[in-house]
Amino acid sequence: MSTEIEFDSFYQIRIKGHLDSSWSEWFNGLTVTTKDNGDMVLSGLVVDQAALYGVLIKLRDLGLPLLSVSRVEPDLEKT
Amino acid sequence: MTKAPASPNSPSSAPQRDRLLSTKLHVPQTRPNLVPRHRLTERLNDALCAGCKLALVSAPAGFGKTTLLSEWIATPHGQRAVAWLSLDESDNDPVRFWTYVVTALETIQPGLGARPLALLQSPQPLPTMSAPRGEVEWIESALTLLINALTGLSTEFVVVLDDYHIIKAQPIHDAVAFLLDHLPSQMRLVIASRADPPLPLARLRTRGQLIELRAADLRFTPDEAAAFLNRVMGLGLSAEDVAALETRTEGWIAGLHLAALSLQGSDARHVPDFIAEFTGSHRYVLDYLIEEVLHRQPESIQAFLLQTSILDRLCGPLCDAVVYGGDYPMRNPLNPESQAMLERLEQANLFIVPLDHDRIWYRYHHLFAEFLRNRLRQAPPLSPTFTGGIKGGAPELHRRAAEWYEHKGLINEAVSHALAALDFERAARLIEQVAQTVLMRGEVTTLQSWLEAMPAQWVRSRPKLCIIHACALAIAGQLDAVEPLLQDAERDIRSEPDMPVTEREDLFGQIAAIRAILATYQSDVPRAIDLARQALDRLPDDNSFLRDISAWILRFACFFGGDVAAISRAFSENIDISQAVGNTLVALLSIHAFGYLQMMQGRLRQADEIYRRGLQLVAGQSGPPSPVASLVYLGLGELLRERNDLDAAARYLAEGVELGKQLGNAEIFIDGYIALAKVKQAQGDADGALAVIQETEQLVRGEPSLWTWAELEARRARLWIAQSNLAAAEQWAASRGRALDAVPKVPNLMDFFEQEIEQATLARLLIAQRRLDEATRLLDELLQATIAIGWTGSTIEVMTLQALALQAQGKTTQAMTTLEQALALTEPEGYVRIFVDEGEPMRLLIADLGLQIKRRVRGARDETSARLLAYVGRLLAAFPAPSTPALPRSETRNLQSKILVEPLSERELEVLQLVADGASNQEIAQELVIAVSTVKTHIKNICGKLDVRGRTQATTRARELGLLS
Repeated sequence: MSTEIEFDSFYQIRIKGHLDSSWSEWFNGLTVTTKDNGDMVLSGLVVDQAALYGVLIKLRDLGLPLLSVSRVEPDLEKT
Repeated sequence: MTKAPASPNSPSSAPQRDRLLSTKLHVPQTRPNLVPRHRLTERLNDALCAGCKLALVSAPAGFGKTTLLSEWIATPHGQRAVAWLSLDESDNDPVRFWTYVVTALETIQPGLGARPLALLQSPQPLPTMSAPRGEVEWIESALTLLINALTGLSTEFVVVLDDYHIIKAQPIHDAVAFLLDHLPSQMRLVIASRADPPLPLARLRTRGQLIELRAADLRFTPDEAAAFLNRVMGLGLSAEDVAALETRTEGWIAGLHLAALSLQGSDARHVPDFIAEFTGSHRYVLDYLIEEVLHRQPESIQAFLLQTSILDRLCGPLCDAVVYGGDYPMRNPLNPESQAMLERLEQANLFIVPLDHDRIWYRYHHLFAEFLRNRLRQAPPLSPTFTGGIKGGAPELHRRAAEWYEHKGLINEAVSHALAALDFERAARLIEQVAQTVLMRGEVTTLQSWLEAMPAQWVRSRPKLCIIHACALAIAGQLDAVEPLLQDAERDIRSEPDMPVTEREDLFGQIAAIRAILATYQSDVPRAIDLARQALDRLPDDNSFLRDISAWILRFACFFGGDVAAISRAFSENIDISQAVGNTLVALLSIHAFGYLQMMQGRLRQADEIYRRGLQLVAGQSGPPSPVASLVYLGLGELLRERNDLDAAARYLAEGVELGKQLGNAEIFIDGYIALAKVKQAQGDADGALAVIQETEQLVRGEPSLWTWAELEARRARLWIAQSNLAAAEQWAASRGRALDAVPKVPNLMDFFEQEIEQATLARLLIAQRRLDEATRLLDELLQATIAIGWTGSTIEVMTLQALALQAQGKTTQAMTTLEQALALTEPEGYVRIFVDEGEPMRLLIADLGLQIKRRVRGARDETSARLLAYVGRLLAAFPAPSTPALPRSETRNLQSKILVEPLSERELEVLQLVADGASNQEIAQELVIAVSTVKTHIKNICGKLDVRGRTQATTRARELGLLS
């Protein structure tokens, strides 16, 4: 694995169905954004792969359908 | 809190623990009124009957996996017995996991798991004379035992592992895969999981050994949804409404269930509104519905659900403690007792699952609990309108749960809640209290996970925790992290001048014991001895765990160091201590080691005495003999063989080998096999002896220890020499080459084990080849070495060989003198085979010596001579009559059998290959897609053609003939 994605990467996780913002803490402080099409996006810095998997397993345990996981350049997100 | 915490060993806690733990083995009860799922249960039945090894029910939470499986079990499913295990977080400890699996299987047949459990719960192997063995091999040994026990069951059965996604420990996955590879034909495995487990699924799939039920299979069909909503939940919805709900939830059962709960009791006029709102919302189905359901409950129930959501398992008194804190029991109509509340929730179908028949333990549906916990976190402290509102939120609730569990002596659960409450004081106190017990149960991983849940700085500031952590790491073989922890502990102890001396000594003793483990791993023998002695001096008597380990290390280290007398003493003391404290296991280990050393020193009488004591210990144990008993059987077997009590020897050795295999340590059962081979040779069964050696080789295939191989090869060469097959023996000697060149003057004990066996074999070969000068030179060197190292048993063997070599050289007087010296040593101990195994030349020599002694003493026999003469008479009687040479006949038979009268067919060769690979008849039938009865016919024909009896012999013969790949 290349070292560049081992820590402090910005991730976007797309999920089907809205949760209210109170869940943010549950997801390691990721920002929860809801989309009009019924999707929800969790986004933010993930310290390492273990933390990312922690979030994914949490989603699995809540039964939330996962649509996509992607690493994005933080600059794009700030615009 | 003034109540003294109950000790985990207090009598009252045992039933509590058993009751709580048995909930894990309980098949969750199905509600009487369910949507029948014949389409799924029939698929399961058909596939399992058709020979699928594994049924995987893999789907996200809330798809009814557990319900489906409990329904399946409640319906007739081919007369299969069921062992059920609901997994939780703490089962990531491999020892714990397999202990539960075995305990679950005990529900099918009590007593079945006694041996594997005995092995699992015995101390894990410390570094022994061979390479350190890992936990994986240890578990595999226990599993092999279990598989053997299961193979003997007459009923077909299923093992269900529910919530398998919780398992993250790779060693557990590896072992489950191992189990699947060696699954007894009457067993099926069922795994329910939210994620596909890391098992060789693709392989099972292509072989047609896997049946999968996945989300698409589990979700309710429109018909099932209608049946559920209208018949089970009694809603009376229109087909249109049912379709709308089914579409919105996509047949997800948890979603439909919650939707039905939201609709229950609603005015029929509101139903369309609810459905319109629900189907139009983008809210996550569950988030939306749980809120709906919660809002429909009275506040007292809402508060109860939220507050008790922190519990993995619930019972009335525990919920009282969590909800009411120190104020329970408080009888108040507004605050009903929790037991009543639990029953009410069950009646209302509010995602609560009873875990036993008596309605004592419950749990929430996992998905429901997740959402409740989030709600609980959203607003701590809870809304003041809640009658049960508490300050402090979830941590306070966890603290209360920890207190209750501690009070009940359920320390594992108390620790988990204390950690969740961030109440590290309490967690530390509890861990310090139970660490020894947990370690003795072998649950190292559990202990580690607790310690890792605490802030590292905090652990480092507490010497006792540092030491416990270091001990867990050392036993788990994670050596690098151990020393820094010990140094922290030492620093902390020194900085506490007020610490009582006894406590200080205890802690320093523990540190020394752990460092002794490190030194043993690092093969630093003098340091290990020194540290283990320090530990034994300082540790109080009640620290039996570390005392036992230290005593072990001392003995092994002495063994490496070659101090035979010192180690004998150490073992002897240890037998008494272990027996006195009732530690049968360690007593047996010590008896084995002590007996073995006595044999090495030529003291058969003392070995006999100690082995008999071992037999008594084994007999005094309840249940089947522990695998460790094999050590006593094997020792006694070898002793009886030497004394020429061959039938009894064979019995003990066979039993010992069978049990010894279960220990998983090749060195142990190989000794047994070698002794068995010697017995067969002594009984005149030369082929049988070689076959045993060959069988042993099959068993130790893949065994990395060169020592084992060298010993086996030398033993076989000895058999060849005894059978006059010098060409084969010469080939052996050539293959060993320079390794046989020299005997060290001051031998290293470890290396000398192998050297002695090989050199003594070589000496026999040289004598047989009549290279007598070389033989005597080698024997002289060997004699010096055995004397230097104190192995009188070997010295005697060398002397008998010297006598033979001298006699062959025509130096009769010297030969007689040497032999008489040997007899003087062996007569009191009752040696027989050491002479008789050397055959006719030795018989003649002993007969001559007898005559010489008679002539020398004439009529005036002193007691010594009389005893010696009587001994000579006994020895001569033990030799076979000289007219029955067993060898030539077996040789010719061997040659004839190399040409088969009737060659094997292609199919028979296929079957033979599978037999050799260890496949059962059932597996062969599956592999070749033929009936089991056909397989049996093939095997019968193969045995006939090969002129052998049984599968093992067939494999051996086939290998000799080069029929196998």
